Parts: sequence; C-alpha cells; structure tokens
Amino acid sequence: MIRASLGFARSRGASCYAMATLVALMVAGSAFGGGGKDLPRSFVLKAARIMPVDPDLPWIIEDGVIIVRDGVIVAVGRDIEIPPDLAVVDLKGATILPGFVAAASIAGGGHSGHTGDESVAAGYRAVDAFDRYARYETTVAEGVTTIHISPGQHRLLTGVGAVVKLGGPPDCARCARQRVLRDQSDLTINLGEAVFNPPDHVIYHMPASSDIAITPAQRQRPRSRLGQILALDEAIEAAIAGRNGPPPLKRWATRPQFSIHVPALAGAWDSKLTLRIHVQRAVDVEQAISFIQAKERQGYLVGGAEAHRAANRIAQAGIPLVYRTRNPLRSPAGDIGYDRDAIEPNIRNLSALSDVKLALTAPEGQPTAHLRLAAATALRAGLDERKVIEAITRVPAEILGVSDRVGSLSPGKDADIVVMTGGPLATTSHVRRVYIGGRVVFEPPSARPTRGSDATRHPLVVRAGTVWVGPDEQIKDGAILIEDGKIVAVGRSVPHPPFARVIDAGPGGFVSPGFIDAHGHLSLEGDRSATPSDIALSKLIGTADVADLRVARSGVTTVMLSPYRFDSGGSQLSAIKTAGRDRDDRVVRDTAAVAFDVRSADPAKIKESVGKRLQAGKKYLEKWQKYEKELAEWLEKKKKGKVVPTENAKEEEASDEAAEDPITGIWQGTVTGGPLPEPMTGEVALKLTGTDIEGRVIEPPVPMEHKIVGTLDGDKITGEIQVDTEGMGYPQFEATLDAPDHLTGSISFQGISVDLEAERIEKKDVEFKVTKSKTRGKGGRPLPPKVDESLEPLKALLEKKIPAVVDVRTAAQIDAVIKLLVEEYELPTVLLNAEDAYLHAEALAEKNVGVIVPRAIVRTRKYLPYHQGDDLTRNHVPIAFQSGAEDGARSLPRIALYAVERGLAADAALAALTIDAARMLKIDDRVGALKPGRDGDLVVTNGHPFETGSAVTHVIINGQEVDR
Amino acid sequence: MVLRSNRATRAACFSLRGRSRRLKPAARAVVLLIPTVVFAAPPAKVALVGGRIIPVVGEDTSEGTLLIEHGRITAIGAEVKIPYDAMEVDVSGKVLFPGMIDPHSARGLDIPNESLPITPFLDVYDAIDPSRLFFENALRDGVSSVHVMQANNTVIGGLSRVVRPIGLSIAEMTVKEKVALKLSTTPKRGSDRMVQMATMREAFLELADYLERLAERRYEEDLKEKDKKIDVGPAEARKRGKELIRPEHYDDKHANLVKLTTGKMDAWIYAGAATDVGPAISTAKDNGFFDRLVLVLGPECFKAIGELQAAQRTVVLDPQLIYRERNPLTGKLKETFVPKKFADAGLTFALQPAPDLSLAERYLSYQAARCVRHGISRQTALEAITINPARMLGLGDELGSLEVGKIANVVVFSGDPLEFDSWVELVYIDGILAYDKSKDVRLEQLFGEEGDEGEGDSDEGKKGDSDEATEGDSDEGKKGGSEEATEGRRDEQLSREPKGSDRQSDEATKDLTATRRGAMGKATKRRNEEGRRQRSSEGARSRFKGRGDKHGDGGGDG
Repeated sequence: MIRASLGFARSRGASCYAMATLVALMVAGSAFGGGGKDLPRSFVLKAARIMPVDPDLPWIIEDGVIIVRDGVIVAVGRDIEIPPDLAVVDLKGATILPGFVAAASIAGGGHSGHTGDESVAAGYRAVDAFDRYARYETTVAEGVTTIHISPGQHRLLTGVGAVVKLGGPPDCARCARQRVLRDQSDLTINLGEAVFNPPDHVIYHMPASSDIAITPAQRQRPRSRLGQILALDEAIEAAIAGRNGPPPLKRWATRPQFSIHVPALAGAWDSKLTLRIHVQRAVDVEQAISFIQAKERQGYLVGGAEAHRAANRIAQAGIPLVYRTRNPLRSPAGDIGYDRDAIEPNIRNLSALSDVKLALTAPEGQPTAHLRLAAATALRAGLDERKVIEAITRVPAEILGVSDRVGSLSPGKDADIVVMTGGPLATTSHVRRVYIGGRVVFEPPSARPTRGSDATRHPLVVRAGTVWVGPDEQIKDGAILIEDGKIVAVGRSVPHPPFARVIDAGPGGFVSPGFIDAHGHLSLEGDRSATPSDIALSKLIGTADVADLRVARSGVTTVMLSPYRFDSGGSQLSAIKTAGRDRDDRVVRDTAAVAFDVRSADPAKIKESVGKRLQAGKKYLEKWQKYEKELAEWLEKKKKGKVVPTENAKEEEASDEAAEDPITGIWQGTVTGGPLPEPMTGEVALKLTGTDIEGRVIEPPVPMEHKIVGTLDGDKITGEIQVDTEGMGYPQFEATLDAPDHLTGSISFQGISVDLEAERIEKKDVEFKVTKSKTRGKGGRPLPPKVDESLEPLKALLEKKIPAVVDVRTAAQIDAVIKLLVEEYELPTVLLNAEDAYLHAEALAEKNVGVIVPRAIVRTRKYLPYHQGDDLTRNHVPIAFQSGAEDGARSLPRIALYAVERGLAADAALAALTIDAARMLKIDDRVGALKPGRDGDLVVTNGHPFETGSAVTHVIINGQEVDR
Repeated sequence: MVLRSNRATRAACFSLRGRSRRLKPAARAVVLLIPTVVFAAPPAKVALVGGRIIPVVGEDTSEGTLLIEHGRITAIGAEVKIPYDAMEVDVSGKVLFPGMIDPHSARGLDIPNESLPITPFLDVYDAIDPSRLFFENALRDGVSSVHVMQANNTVIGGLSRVVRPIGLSIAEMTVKEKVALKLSTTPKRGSDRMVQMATMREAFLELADYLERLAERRYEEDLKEKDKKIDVGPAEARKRGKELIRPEHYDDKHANLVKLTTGKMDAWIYAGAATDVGPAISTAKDNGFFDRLVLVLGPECFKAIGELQAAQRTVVLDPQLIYRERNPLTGKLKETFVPKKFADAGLTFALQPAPDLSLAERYLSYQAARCVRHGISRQTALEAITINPARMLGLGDELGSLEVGKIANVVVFSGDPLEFDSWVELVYIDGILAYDKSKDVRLEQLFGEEGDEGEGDSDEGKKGDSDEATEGDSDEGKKGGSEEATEGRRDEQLSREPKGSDRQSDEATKDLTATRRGAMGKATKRRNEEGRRQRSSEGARSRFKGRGDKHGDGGGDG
C-alpha cells in the first residue's frame, strides 16, 4: 500500500515537472519562431559560418552575426555590436546562406485543358496563377525562398512572367515587402521544336448573330524554326500598330475582333520588359541572342541544353543564362539510342559555360525544390563552388531583377535566410531552418516541441572525431544514425534521411555508449524498505523528473534500479533509463535481475537460504517446462491432424439400493429469495458416509465441475459447494432436517443468501468417482500452470535470461556463492560490492562472473593507493561501477574517473561503464554498445571521457537529446 | 404583392384534394405536386398576438403583437391596438422572426451556368423554375426571400433577382429584378487562373473597344440619317460619336457591362480561394464598381482577411463553415471556424444554407446557431441570416427585420429560432399566410401524425396507399415477416395506430412502419430527383435506395 501511494505521488510530481518542461520548451520554441505571425521579426542570428554571397563581403564569415530588424537585414559581420534589445538566436555549428532563388520553376505556369492555345498570348500573366495564400512547405524545406513563375513554355509567346517569394505576408494590400516581388518581370518567349505547329485558332462570336459571319479557324505560326522569329516580329509590329489606333482608313466594321493579347503585347513592349527566351538547341541560342540584340532589349536565356556549343557567343554577348541542369542523379535512365537529334546529357558540358553569367535550376519538369541538388551536380562539371552557390542565389536574383531584395545577405536585403547543418552543397547537410522576411517558414517538423507521445522522433545523426563502438573498435571521423530511438547505422558514413538533425561534435568529439549505473536507487526517494520479491521497482517510475534529468545530463543513461535492502526471497532489480517520454520509453527491463543479500550470512548457510529459494524456483520452472513440452507435443499432433481425445472428466454414476440413512438419495430442492428473480428447482444426489456428506447436482445439469461437501451433525447439515469461483471462496450452505426426507436451510455466497427447501424423492445410493483436477482444455490442449509472481523472476533466472546479483563481502561468502550459483545451478551471476573479489580473481574470470565494484575501493600496493578494479580487470574479470545512490548517480563518471586516476586503464573504465556492465547484467541487447539495433543512447564528450578537461556536450537517450 | 389567382387556386386545390379520396394513386401524386403553400385568402389586416418578437433590428419583445396591414408591418410591440377588422392569430408561446433570406442560390435555376465565360446578357428570369421543390423547401425552412443568381462556374455571368418562394410565375415571385451581375475570379471549370483573369480583363477592355466602335458607328449612322457623307477619319468620328450614344444603342452583350462600369449595377464576385480575393477587389476597383461590390467567398478565404478588412465590403460566406487544412510535412490537421474570423475582423457577412438537403446545414437558422456556438454574438449571427443579406441586396428598407413599414415577411417559430427543435410553424410573406406546418402535406406524409388530416389521408388512400406500400417496400415487408399482410389488415392497423404501442401489436407496428416508409419514399423520391439535379449528396440517395426509386415516375416534377 505504501508502495502504491509512493508511486502515485511520484508520478504526479513527475508529470508536473514534465508539464513545466513542456511549457518551457514551448516558450523557447516560440521565441525563435514556431512559424507564427506575431513573432518578433527583429533578432540576431549567430552561426559558425555565414556565407553572405555578396561581392562586397567576405565569402565566408566565421562565427558571424546577422542582425535583422523588422524582417530586413541591418548588419552582417564578425565583430559587430549586438544591440541589447534584440533576442540572440545562437545556431551554433550551422551554416547560414541567403534563401535560394530558382530562376525557373514548375509553380504556376501551364494552362489546363484546351486553354492558352494562342501562339502569341501576351495577355496571360503568370502572377494570376500564383496562389499567394498557399503553403509551399515542401519547396521551402529545401531552402528555396524566391522563384520565377512562368506563363508556360508550350507556345511561342506565352505571356508575362513574375517573381514571387514562397513565404511572408501574402496580402499585397497592406505591406511593402509582400510575396509578389515583381508581378510583371518578363515577356516569356519560347523557341524550338516544342512551339512549332500550334493548333488552329477559332474565334466564337457571342451572342451568335446573323449579322456576324462565322469566321474560319485561323492558322497560327510558327510552323518551323524558320518562322519563329518572323512570327514574333509580326506580332510585335501588329501590336504596336494597334496601339496607335486603327489605320486611318480602316473603319469600325472591318477591324478584327478585339483580343487582349494585342494591347497586352504592345504594353509589354512599350514598358521594355525583359525578354526571357527559352532555348534548347545551339541554333535557337543564336536566334535568341540576335533577336535580343536587334531589338535592343534586356534579355536572358533559359534552358540551353546545347548552350555549351554556343558558350562563347553567349559570353561575348554578355547575356545571362539560366541553365537547367540535366540531372543524371534523378533520371539515370532515358535511352538515347541512335536518335541523332537527341541532346546527349553530359554534365561536363557545363564547364564550357564557366565564362557565362550563370544561374542554375532544377531539370525541366522536376520540383523546384531540387535546386540545391542541381547545384551540387554542377560541382561535378568542374565549376567552382563559389560560382555554383552564386548561381542559385545572387546571380538569379540579378537576372530576375530582384537583387535589391533577395539573393544575398547584406544590409538592406530581406531577411530570407537558410540555415544549413553543414556545407551548402554537401550531400549530407540539411536545411535546419528557413526564414523569409524574418519569419520562420520552415523547421523540420519534429524539431519543435510536440505534445503527446505520438510525436515522431526525428532521425538524428551524430558525427564525431572518435566513435567508441567498444573497447576493441573505435571509428575515426565516424557517424551514427539514430531513427525511432534505435541506432540504425554506425560507420565512417551513414545515411542522412530527410529532416535528420545533425550533431557534429567536430574532430575532437568523442561518442561513447550511454553510461550504466550497475546499482543505484534513483527514484526511490529515500524509501529504505525492502521490496517484496513479486514487485518490480520499474513500476515506480514515470516521466523523467528533475532528479532523473540531473543524472541523465551527467551521461548516465541507464540505472540498475535496486531497493536499499533486498528481500530474503530475492528482490527484483529493474533496468531503467534516466530520461524518456513515458514509462514505456524508460524501462529497459522490468525484471532485469534477481538480487540476494548474503553480506551478513554465514557462508555455510548460504546454500541453505538461497538454495531453498532456488529449489522452489526450480520446481516452478519444471512445471512450466512440462507444460511447454506438452503444449509443443499437442501442437505437433494437432498439426499432423491427429485427433487428440479430450480427457473426459465426466463422472460415471453407479447407483444401487443401499442401507437407509437420513441423507443418501436424490433430493429435489427449491431455492428462493435473495437476488433470484424466481424460485429455482433442481435435483441433488447426496451420499452419507459416516457424518460426511458428498454430493452432486444432477438436475439441471451443471456445466462446471463441482462437488457438494458437508457434514451431518444431528439434524444439522453444514457444508459448501466446491465450485471454481476464481478465488472468491465456495458458497456455504446450512440446513436442518426438520422432518423425515425434508430439509430447510440457506445457501450463502459473498454476503448473498438464498433460502433452500428440499425433499428426498428417492433413496437410492449414487456413487461418485473422485474427480481429478482438470489438466486439459478444449481439444485436449494442455492448460498452463498458475502464474506465481514471486517465483517468476526466479524462473527467468533459472532460464538464464537474467542474472543473479549477489551482495557479498568476504572471500568465504564469494566462494559459497560461486559453488552454489555458478557451479551447481550454472546461473549467470554478478557479485555486488565483493570487497574480497580480488582474492578469487582467477576463479571469477574463469567462470565469467562480473563484479560491481564498490564506490571507492582503494587498496595500497607498494605504499601507493590503487583501485581494486585494476586487479580484476588485469585478470580479465569484468567490472561495473555503481553509484549506490539516487540522483547521486550523476557522479558515476567521476567515480570511474577516480578509478582511472588510481590505476585503472581509461578504456577499461569506459568498458566497465558501458559494455561490460551491460553484458554482465544481460541488457547488452538494448544498451551498452554503439551497434545497429541497440537503443540510441549516447554520450558525446569533447575528448575521451577520462581525459582531463573532457566534458559532456550532448547526452542522447532513445534518440532524443537530453535538454541541458 | 397580391396573389391575383390565389382564391381560384385555393379552390382548385381543395376540390382536387376532396376528390382525390376517390382518385387513383397517380392522381394522388399530382395532388402532392401542388406546393404545400396554403393559399389563404389574404385578409387586409392580420394581427399576430401574444408571441415573443425577435425583430433583429431593435429590442426583443417578450410578449407582443405584430400588426400587418396590406402586406406591411404597421405596428409592433407589447401594446398594440388591434383594429376591429383585423384577423387575430394567436401565436402565444411562439416566436416571431423576420423571414430569412437565402443570399445566394442557383438552385432555383434549371441549369446553373452557361458554358460561355462572358454572359452578362443573361437574366435568371429565363431559367427560374417556380415548380422547383427547392422553393417549397425554402418556405418550409423559413426562408421568405431567395436571391437567385447564376452559379460560380463563369467569368461574367448574368443578372440575378430576388424572389419569394411562392407564386406560379416568375413575375409573381419576383421581389426585385436585375439585382446584380455575377462575376467569378475563381477559374471556370476546365480553365485556369491565368485564363480566367485574362478573360476578365479582356471583357472590360473589349467593352472600351466596343464603346469606341459604337461611337464611330453612331457618328456614321447619324450622318447617314442626315444624308451626309463621312467627313472625318475614324479617330475624330469616335470623338464626335460619343455624344450620340443613347442607352438603347448598346447591344445585349454590353448593356449590362456599361451599367456595371458606370456604377449603376451591383456586382457579386465569387472568390473561391484566398488568392482570388485580391483579383476580385482589384477588378472591381479598376472598373469602377468597387462601391457596389459584394464578395461571395469560398471556405478558405478567411486567410485573406487582411485584404478583406482593407476593402471593407460585405461578404457572403460559404455554407461550409469549418475549414480543414492538413500540414503537408507534419500531417497535422487544423480546423478553422470561418465566420468567427469574419466576426472578429468586424466584417459584415451573410450566411448561406448548404445545398445538400440531407444535412442540417440546409437550415439557415442552424448555420446561425453554429456561429453562436463558436463564440459569435447572437445578434451578429441573427443579422447574418436576415438584415445583412437584405442590405446586400439593396432591400435593407424592405426586408430583413420586423420593423414598422417593412414588408410583412414573418416566420413563426415554435421556439427560439436557434434551437434545433424549433419548427417553422407559420410563414407570412407580404402578409399572406404562405406556409402552415399543420397543413404541410409533405411533412404529414413523412411523419403521419394523428389528427384530422392523418385520418382523412388513411381513409381516402385505401387503395393508393397500400399499392405503394407493397410496391415500394417488398424487402421491408419480408423483414417484418408479414408477406401475407393484406391491405385490409394494414388499414385496420393504421386506424389503430394513434392508440399507442402495446406489446401485442408489435407486428402491426412493423407493418405500419412499412406503410409509412412507402409514403416517405414517395416524398423522398421527389426530393431525390431535386437533389440529383443539384448534385446533392450521394449519401442521401443511397439511404433511401430501393424504396422511393422503385415506383416509377408517378409524380414527375412537372
């Protein structure tokens, strides 16, 4: 009872703390923008590397600072004064870049159905198709903040393009820095095969009238490359002519029907909109450049699969090129065969364009989000990194005419910022956060604090100079991937799934498995009573509370939770984690070991006391083993289709006339009253032997096994109906023979009683066979024995699933324990404390018995103190460290450090804290090593944990970083 | 309005009803077709006495009298002197509420939209079908005025009009004609936003072009009339011709657009998505009708609340009041109660009933009640179904509240209009008792209450009823295990029904249910046909599948 209330109080405290933590996290999260609109758009960003991509600023600013006010960058640099009124967001090891600019995208664009079929259709505006209120998470998630939207590429002149941002205030009515950067940025012209042979154009007159003749469908141009520039020239001339009004002599009746495209083209031409010309072949490049030059307009080329063949021409003309990479990574297939016209994708072609003002975009038809990948591919062509990064930031912004707002991080520009985990073009780095106009528009979803246990854990990649897999295996410059709380991969390189968080501990970083406290009392809160052997201590724990987290922060991730005193029948020890979302998350094993205390026992009596308990366990185990064997046999038989006869426990009734006595015979009785809605009648056969009565109900047939047992005392009958009531006792009855062959009385059960009246209707004797207890269920299936909670741990122990932890002191005790547990029962055994263990070191090593060494056991050797663990480890006896405390477990690493200082090898101490402890306690399938499949428990230090000056930098439990 | 033919109709109606006792089922179905409008002879003066009055504009009166004289409200309040010649109607314990207004509906039309994008020359007059069950249902739901307007699948649509849900011809029904032009910035089906907006711009630019041509033409025609030769070039002709244009010279295609751009016509623009709101506002501003703009919004448009707030135009909200959105990265669902956003922004809005008849959202009062539930003040919610739409339609002085001088459109609820168990008991339109629940044939068929009407029905329909029941409900009959049930038995049970249910007549009850279902099927079937045309929910149909649909087309919609 005490235990229960203790647990309750504790879990309440824990949940309070959890709530507080949650609130704190939420506050912290919102301070840096959970994406909300009402957040301060003025802040200071600090990061390890800032790449402003501005010609006037250094290429990389190490440990730089960006100051943002009202969504606008006001300062960028290394040593600049931070205004005291602004919140500082320290992004630590991150790299900061300007938001990427995609000079071509698949957003907007494209008509649906049979619309937009006019070959020259300047009246269409791409900005109309831009959904200003839509969410562009999937594109923004890749760092793309500004895109060009095109009215289409399917006709010669498809309309007017626009440049928009993918975040920020959507309503253009009220704000200066809105989503649409330029609603009319360019006149989109497309050259090449794709625009040849447009469909005939039909004009309908509505409402139909007999006054107006039905006009035949008009043919549209161009039909070929020869006509494409001609068609453009014609359309432009006609538009300009139309703008000045109809020719003087052309009267109203003869003028063509009004079309928006004519005045729109005239307007666009007059306003000298930039010409955006899509080209594929080299010949189109040539035509486009000539056209731009002849018309004396600003212009740039887009696409350019064959641009490398006209690279010099483009460079000479000084016309920028938005190059669509032909990405071999995304579409590795694509047969070319013998098609002589096919343009062979060759990434090397890009290198020819190194003199051209170049912007890069994703391959045609592929998501705009692939911009960074497109850029990374370009690196392979031999372009230098700087040019490639500029080609997705500053250069496209300049080409699109929006470089006053976006494309670089310099004072006056919008705070469109991409935070990356590593180098911008490294395949393993990820977008950590994206700001547009100073608002957070993207964060990996689970990186924000989420309520509820269904919150998905984000993948985590930990990189460090040394990954300490185990004492025999360390990886230099290694990495570990944790997904869903488990280690998935360990090695020199690991997969980087989307949204993975990356912790880069740097070259000096050292990753080791989480430390194990082999004997601690965390969560007991001073409760010094011994737990009964049928209770697992893990029932006490809930969400990690402040004390638990204090321990977790020190690097201790697992605690073997022990009561202060062990029960004489053997206490259960539980293995728990020091942090976790809930109880399930925290329990490694409810019953992780059975502990005996023989510290003060006479060595000679150990066999008796502990042995007796083991005997009981053994019997229990045998019962189960027998059942399992029978079950296996039964299943085998059943599988083969053999009919297993039900062991029928039906009793045979033999009856014969017998000597008369007042009881023996068939009684017909009626039960009334109590909860019975109406009287029940039945027949009961009774037999009197001496004063003992035995009987069965014969009518109505009772489906259960039962037995009426009673005694006759004068004319009083008392007894019980033995029927399985699942431990609620048997119904009792008492009756009086008030007349010959007639009795009255009552039956009571669980406080309910009913009246009974019966009459003997036959005086024959009915024999009952002694029934045996049922051992077989339906179809002869063996029934399992009863579960005994107090013997369950012993069963697990005897099955060698969990170890026995024995608290011993003297050599004689150790000897007795080894003889009994190890030699006789061959059980996995761990000695607790065992101050004299060094005397048995060889025997222990031979039998592979581990020792949980006391907190400070220092002996002197040649006048110098040394740690006993050294003696043991030298003799290959595995050791583990214990705190023997509650949240004092936080000093466990220091206890180990002390041992190292007193002679223990540093790696041996680390092994004792991790893998050796896990192995001896048989929890090494979950913790103790950095192997795939194990729990994601790690400690990251800035050096070997037992080197002077090393400190814990990160603790990760179940893949979740413990908040420091 | 005075229903000129109502006496005659009433007589015809009653004589038909009387005769129908001996009529065949088909004829009975014809009787059912006649709208449940009860054409009471309009007394010149009606006093609704003893009810709670919710005038929407002004204070509530807990127990008062509303006096109607010649179709107008002439007095209202706790102490009203009732003229000696007024017909007194006791509505004590009931609630008087203004006739509700359906602000935007294409359901009175046979086809909601043309396939052409620009059709300002259309008028819903040509497409309203007075026999639509929709109007009957509107009346039953307490709607006394419907703004019939083309649906959203258009760029520039036709003219709308406000009608009463009673009357045999469109002229009779009409309250106000040529109310507004319908426009849409959300793409027409098979189109896209680029084309939609280019088409919209083209329509107005073409208008300018047309006006120039017209001026030129007018100048030439003018000279021709005077037998003069054309003396100037086209540019000069256009200039001179401008003054010669009279309204009758505009052709059908442009006449309404001219009115629109000169501020003589209202425009209702549908913006189905938040991104369409901006273009809708700028279209109105650019073409000079911003002051006469009403926005009809899709559920998502609350996102553009900033733009809407800046514009300060009245809006009609989507019948779908809750907007749900899933985050593509986290999969989290976010729900927004749309009217709350508008109420918080201080915008004037009107609510629409859902087109799906099987949902509770078909009741305007339910829509308003949901608003109250989500934290909008009761007054705002009530205004959104009465006075706000009236003002949007330019009828703020005539409809939408119970005020002296206004048209007497009054709904008598059995309880508070926002309570879901309140029924519309009576509806007065123009002071005429247009609907009386106790005489609602269709409701009676659905619920078959005891009482005079019920008795009469069961008697008269001996043959008809049972025919339909057996035909429509063969599977139902099997379930009840009463295949052999004879018509006679069924009738017997029918008459026994009101006495309540004792355990023995279990079977009888089942049979009765079957009979009722037959009748219900009949009513439902017609409802379904209506629904099909309105693309109403699949669910409503499947629920009644195999019942109503079976028995032929005894009662088409006429």
